[in-house]
Amino acid sequence: MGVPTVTICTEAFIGLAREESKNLGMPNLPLAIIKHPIGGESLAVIRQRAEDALAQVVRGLTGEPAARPAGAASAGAPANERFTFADEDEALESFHARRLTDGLPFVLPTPERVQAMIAGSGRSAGEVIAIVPPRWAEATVENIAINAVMAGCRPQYMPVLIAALRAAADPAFGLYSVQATTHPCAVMVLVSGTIVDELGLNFRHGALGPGFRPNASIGRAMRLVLVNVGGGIPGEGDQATHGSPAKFSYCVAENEAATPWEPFRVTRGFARGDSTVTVFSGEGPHNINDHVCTSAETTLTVVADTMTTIGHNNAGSVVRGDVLVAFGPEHAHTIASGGMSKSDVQKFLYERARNKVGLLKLRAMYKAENWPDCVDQHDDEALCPIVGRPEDIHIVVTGGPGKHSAFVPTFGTSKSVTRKIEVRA
Amino acid sequence: MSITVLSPVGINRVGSQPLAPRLGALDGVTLGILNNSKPNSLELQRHLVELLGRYHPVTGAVTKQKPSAAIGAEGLDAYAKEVGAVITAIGD
Repeated sequence: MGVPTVTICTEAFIGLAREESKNLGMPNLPLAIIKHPIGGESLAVIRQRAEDALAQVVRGLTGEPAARPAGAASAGAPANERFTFADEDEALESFHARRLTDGLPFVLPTPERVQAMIAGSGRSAGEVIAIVPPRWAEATVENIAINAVMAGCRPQYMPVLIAALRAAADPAFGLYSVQATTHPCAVMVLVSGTIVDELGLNFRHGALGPGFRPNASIGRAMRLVLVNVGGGIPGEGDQATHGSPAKFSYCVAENEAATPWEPFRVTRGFARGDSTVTVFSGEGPHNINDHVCTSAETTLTVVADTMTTIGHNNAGSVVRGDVLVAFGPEHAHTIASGGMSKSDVQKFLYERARNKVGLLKLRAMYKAENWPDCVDQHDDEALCPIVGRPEDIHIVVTGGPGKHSAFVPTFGTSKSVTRKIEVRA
Repeated sequence: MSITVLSPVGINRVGSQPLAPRLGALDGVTLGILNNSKPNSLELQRHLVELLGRYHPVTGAVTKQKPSAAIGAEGLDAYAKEVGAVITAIGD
């Protein structure tokens, strides 16, 4: 900003603060460090924390900054470096020890395997696809390919990964916050179009679960790029309190044959002949079980009730985020049989999935200026929607037979982003 | 038999950024409170400015609040012209 600044953080966030200042080229940025936490503490405690910070703040604004510590921003190992190990076991153990994995066994990225993966992209190895926070490091085609090999991808999956990373790097998605937050959001990858069948992505039984190589390895490769390129290492660049199983792998495909509505990509403004990938800052899916309802209205009432809780971030960030409802084919057909279009469904859920103002105030995440204009913040009985517009409730059909759907809340302040998948190979 | 593998780590190419010169003293300085809306953070900063005012003849404070910690601050260049030093909060 051009004026001296000091940043206050609690002890729990020293690592992230130091790493981030280093990654942004200011490793000696003054910090004032106080005890953790301040959220949920009494005013007396907050005043004590301020007293604890006082001398540090004065020193940070008036004293000479500390000498710049030596060392490059990238951690773990230099990019594109080649390692030689005595055998495969030693290589595997070394990667785990350096925290270059998700903790599971992986495929070793040998030069030959990486070269084949790069060829699958139809692009040059050095092309920069995205800058990935919080390390703010380049995701080149080669970097992505290395992580794709580790994840168990086939070369033909590369265009999906590249499109997903471009989408995640869009400022509207807010990848820095998605990566670094204490919230358990993952980067969910939703694929729509003919590429679903071409790659063999699963969209039937277990569409949100394990058992299918394209879904499992594309989702896992995305996570490994976020960790190894972006520095989203749990406890370091990723400050998630609990994390989520969704952070291992989260790649879902649309069941277009079973959808009674237009395909997801068409709703997002793309041509029917395109294949697209959409990224959501999704929590793990929450099941919606309804074996009873036979009408659109009653089925959607159950869905809306599932969406209406105050603990998820969308309840507290109503004007900025979006959410996903993944309908099982049977629920979707029950609803469509009642004559409801996708837009009708969005409007219905927007009107019904609301929380009382008085209840939301318990969360204290709300500040006066955060309430949407459409809500009377002084009326505790007033109802507040979970998103700002009906179209921010995204609808997709996926899964196999059964009376289940799923609700995917998101980080709350990020917007999903869709990109066309370009197959060049 | 030995095996060669590639590092999956990305390169950060952000160059070194100079820090703004520090102040000799806080006398006569208008403080900036750059707040990210985390619970209790504004209360913390306000009390801090109150404490600073007891020991240093600062000329006041200008508060700029982001609607969410997850959103980058806008209009910082204009804000920097209004203040002589900034206290940001909070990572919590």
